[in-house]
Amino acid sequence: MWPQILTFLSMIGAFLLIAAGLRQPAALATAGAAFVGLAASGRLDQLHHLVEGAFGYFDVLLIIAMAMVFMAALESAGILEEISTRITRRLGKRPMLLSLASMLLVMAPGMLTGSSTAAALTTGRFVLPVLMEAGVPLAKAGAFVALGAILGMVAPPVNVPVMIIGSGIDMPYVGFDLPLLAIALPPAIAASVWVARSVRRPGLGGRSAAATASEAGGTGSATEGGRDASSRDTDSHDDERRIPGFKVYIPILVLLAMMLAVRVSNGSVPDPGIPLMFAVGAVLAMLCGRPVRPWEAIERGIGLALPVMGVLVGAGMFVQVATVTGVRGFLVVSALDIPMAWVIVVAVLALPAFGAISAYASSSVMGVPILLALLGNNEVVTAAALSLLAALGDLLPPIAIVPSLISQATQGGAQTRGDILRRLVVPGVLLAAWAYIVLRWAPAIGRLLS
Amino acid sequence: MGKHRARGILILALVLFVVGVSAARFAPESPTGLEVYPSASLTRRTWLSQYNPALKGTAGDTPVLVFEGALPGGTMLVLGGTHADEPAGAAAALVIAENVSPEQGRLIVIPYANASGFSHTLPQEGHPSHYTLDTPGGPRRIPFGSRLTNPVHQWPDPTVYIEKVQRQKLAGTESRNLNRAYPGEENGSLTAKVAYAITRLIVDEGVDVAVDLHESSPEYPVNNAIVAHDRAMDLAAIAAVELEYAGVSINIEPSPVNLRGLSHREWGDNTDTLAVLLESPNPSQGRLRGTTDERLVVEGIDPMYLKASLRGRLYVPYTEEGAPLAMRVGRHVASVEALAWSHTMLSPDRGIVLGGLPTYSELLENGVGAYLKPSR
Repeated sequence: MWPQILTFLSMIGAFLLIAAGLRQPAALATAGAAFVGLAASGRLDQLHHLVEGAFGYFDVLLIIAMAMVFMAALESAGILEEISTRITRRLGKRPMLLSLASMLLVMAPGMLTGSSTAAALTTGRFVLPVLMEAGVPLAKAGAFVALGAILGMVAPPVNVPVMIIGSGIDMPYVGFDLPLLAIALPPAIAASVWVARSVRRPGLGGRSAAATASEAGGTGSATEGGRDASSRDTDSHDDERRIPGFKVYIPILVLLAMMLAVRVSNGSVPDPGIPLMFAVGAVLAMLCGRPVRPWEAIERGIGLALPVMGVLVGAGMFVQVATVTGVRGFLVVSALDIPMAWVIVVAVLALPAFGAISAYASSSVMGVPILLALLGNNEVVTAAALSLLAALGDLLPPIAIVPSLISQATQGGAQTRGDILRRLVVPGVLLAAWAYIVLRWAPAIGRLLS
Repeated sequence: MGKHRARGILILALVLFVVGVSAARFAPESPTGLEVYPSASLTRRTWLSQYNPALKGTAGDTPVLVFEGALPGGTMLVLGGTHADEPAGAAAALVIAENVSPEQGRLIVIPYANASGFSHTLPQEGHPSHYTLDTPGGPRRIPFGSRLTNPVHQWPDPTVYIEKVQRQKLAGTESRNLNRAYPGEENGSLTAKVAYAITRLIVDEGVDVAVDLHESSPEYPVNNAIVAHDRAMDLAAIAAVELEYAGVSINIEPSPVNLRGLSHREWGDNTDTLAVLLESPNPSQGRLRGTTDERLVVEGIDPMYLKASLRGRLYVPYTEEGAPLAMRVGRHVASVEALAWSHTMLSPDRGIVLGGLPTYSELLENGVGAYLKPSR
């Protein structure tokens, strides 16, 4: 028997014991599982692996922390409510246009940064209350934002998972725009139709997104899209809270402009990094809305980010220990220990599964060997489809980073996260099936696009 | 509240304990700590910052060793340690530097091309920081590192790295990959400065043949190979024939024109040198590897790779004997010697004759440590 099996089982057992048995946070459970993995493999003298692994997602942690501070600043300044209200008034009567515009809005930051986190916590946060005000239940609206976030991550011009897979086989990031668009666009339109059918209150478009934004961000009650009748009494009060003028758009426009400038300049504009962009956006948010106590906004943002950051630190330790003990290699080799014809099926299952820890890690650990196993299957289209599967992992438990961040940002807690995850089951399966189709007929699709 | 506080204090204490006992592992090493004990043929020892003063005092500065034969001839550059997680590259450069006795021409060796890469290992790769070889005089501890510059020395990464030649987009972390940074920038990032200095060295020293020593994972198609720039194809072809005679089978791969920033492409395009890159199969590098430790680095035996090989997933032969470091270093040393011989055949007036190097079979038989000096 492979010793890696015992190590892996001990790690999974420790995770379940700490998380479910002792009811400790997932961050402690993953870190504890990593420690048990070291102990089970006789490596207690190598505790440095826990420290090194903890830095595995350092840059992602910075993005999440600063994105949450940006989001908290927008909320504290009333900008989130204000913009949501304006969008609802403008598009509330046209469900299809509303959902298509919402999808594009959610996808934009992901397309520019290659980060689903950035998409979920920026424009995704604006779209959520708008959809809820239009009658879309919170769970479905959250699922829609989560789908938009990962499709934005996949869509061109920036797809980091493809770049990671490409760097593993020395394939330049050239000629991917059309295949990535062809892969991301159909599901994006389908998701828009899916949500448009749930828009039940066309024409309401009034003050109401303000209150719904508060619901989505403040109460934590998973209100499933509706406000009770008493909340309508607050209409006049909400109107008093409105922030006039163009300045509310400045933080998000400057943020998107920075992302866009870095991309279109093709290297001539220095890249300050996504965390710094969010920091600039947060400062602008504090200046462009109602008065904000900066320290409180920062504290609140970091407070919201900490649980997810903790899970990623623990996941980093887990992956490091899995690698050093050979568990990672055992899982990858076992996944590929199949006839060639089944490699695509394994890709559809294994990439999202590894992506449940991190889409980027999945791209490197599983994406590269699978692409190597599929050489000759039109590598560009194949890598593009694999990136969709890796990105799908951002929706999957145990970490389910995008749904977790959405529920965290709405202060909805585990119940909201669970509701969003349930809503994502069917779209997730359909996305995986779509990726399978693209992988299966990659050469033909490649010819069609060339 | 008290329970939460107690839990918090306990977790903090555990974190401090783990960080405390791990601290020594992460202590930075200075470039001057990168050991190399050159052979008696050394005629000049300098630093890479001689070719780009912007590197002076930085973690990117690294030793440059010049060996000169009695007869005038051409100049060969051998670069090890571009990727510090490809140990045969640096180890072969060390074996060459510590044993060579040129008869004709000049040999320039840079054993640790990306010195910063030797000061850390990549999170989630689980690599050791060093490995130890037995030498006749005692143990030799050789650093093992990362394929990227240490983020402590170059950070943050851009979201997308855009290389400078054709502005191709790569993952942001690749901005710290020396072999994506050529021809380099005099005052760019640390990695770009190192790349610039190496390109400058090739021009200033009139290097005829430049060899970049690498390794690749056994599941990677370009393996056991000489990757040659267009102008270096003849050089590689003759060397490959010579290697066959020595029992070393090697593939020749043309340097891809559309993949920029790599040594074999940019050295060849931007200087007059004949640029080649060598690959050998490294089981401690790939994604299929099992338990990752010093033993895997040195012995190269891995049951996971054996299983993958039996399923036809690898591009190199892999048996129960594995792919030991001695074999991989032997391939590199033999290839360098064959390339020098090939160049001498093609340009006798610029001949390069390297003496004193162990043969492939000697390295296989005696191990790498037999040709290195012990750590001091």
